[in-house]
Amino acid sequence: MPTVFLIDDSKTILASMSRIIEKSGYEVQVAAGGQEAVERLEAGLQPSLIITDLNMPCLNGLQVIERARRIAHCRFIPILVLTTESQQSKRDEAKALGATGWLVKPADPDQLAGVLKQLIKT
Amino acid sequence: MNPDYVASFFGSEVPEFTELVSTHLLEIVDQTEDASLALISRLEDIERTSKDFARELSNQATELNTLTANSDAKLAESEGAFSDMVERFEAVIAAQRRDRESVESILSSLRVDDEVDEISTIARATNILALNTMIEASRAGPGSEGLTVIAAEFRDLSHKIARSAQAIGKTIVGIQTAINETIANQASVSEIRAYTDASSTLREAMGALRSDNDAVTSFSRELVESAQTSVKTVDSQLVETLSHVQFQDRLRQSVEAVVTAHRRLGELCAHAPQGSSLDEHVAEAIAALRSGYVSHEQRVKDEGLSTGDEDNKAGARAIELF
Repeated sequence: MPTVFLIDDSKTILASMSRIIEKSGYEVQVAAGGQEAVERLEAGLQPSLIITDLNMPCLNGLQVIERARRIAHCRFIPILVLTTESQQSKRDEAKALGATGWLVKPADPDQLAGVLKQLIKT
Repeated sequence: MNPDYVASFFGSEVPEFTELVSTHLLEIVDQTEDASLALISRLEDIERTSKDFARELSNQATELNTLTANSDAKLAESEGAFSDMVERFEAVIAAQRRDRESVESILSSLRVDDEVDEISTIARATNILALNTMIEASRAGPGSEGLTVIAAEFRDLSHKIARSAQAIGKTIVGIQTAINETIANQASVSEIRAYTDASSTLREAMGALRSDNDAVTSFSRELVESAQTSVKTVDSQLVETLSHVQFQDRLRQSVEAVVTAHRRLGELCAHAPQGSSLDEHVAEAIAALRSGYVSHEQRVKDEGLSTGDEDNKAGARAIELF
């Protein structure tokens, strides 16, 4: 079963999104912050897709993307940014760092399922 | 205004106030997070209960279907046995009917009264003839003793024939009576009709039972489908609710922006140089708030959210692939 790696410092988001993603038929791994996420990716975690929050303490979402793209086995893993942010400048920055897409919280479950299917399939 | 009071106000009271407000706001966010997590947990309980109920219902319905199928099989077996029994019974009744007709035919042809009367008549005539012979022999005198003896023998023989004829007549009457009683003891027409009616009722009851079994099977199938639909509905509503719970994160980020601005204001006031302007500090705090807080109106604009427009409900930019 494909694995989605969910990174967010909000327990509510981790709990709710995990359930939504699991119901779409994927296994979910979670990290409660950017630092923990990068350490696990560096330790060899190789998910089918990464979803990361943007505003997190210590290591934010943009830094997670940047660090993940430096890890060989994560270079081509799709990374979605899941955030309450909606400014275009932040989107452009995420795209430049190697993000695959942008999701605004709260993510619509049907649209999310469609995006996961599209990205994990390809 | 007393400059000492202003300095005290900016130096300690405002920072204390802003810190207090910030702490309370963060506590509210923590409480909403706890409430959201509890809500998610309860939703999972509801989903689990719903699935358990549907599974139990499905198991019960399956068991009911098995029982119905067994009942159907036994019913089919009973119908087979019943049909076989009816067939055999009808064959017995037909055989009885044939036997009765044969016996009645034989009895009607068995007219022995006349023959017995005829034999009795012959016996009486023989007796008279023997008497006459004896009378004639006595008239003939000596030398006819032999004839007298023969006549006596004839007379004796005629008596025996008469008794035998009567005995045969009685025996045949006895046989006829016995046969009639036997026929009477066989199933009468009304009994056969009662049996036929009972067997029809039994067939109807079996048909009704089969129909009831079909209804039970159909009902249990509907029950399972209904339970499955309910589970899907609960599942869909759960996912929908989970997506709404994510607003808590927005609340947290908005409050954190407000807290940051508050703390910045407190910091500025605490370290403000003597005689500086209040307006300047407030303006800087407002700028800090603006940099970290996106208003709902701005968010709607950014995300393309449109009130009342279902097609644009999620917003074209709520999900964007690069």
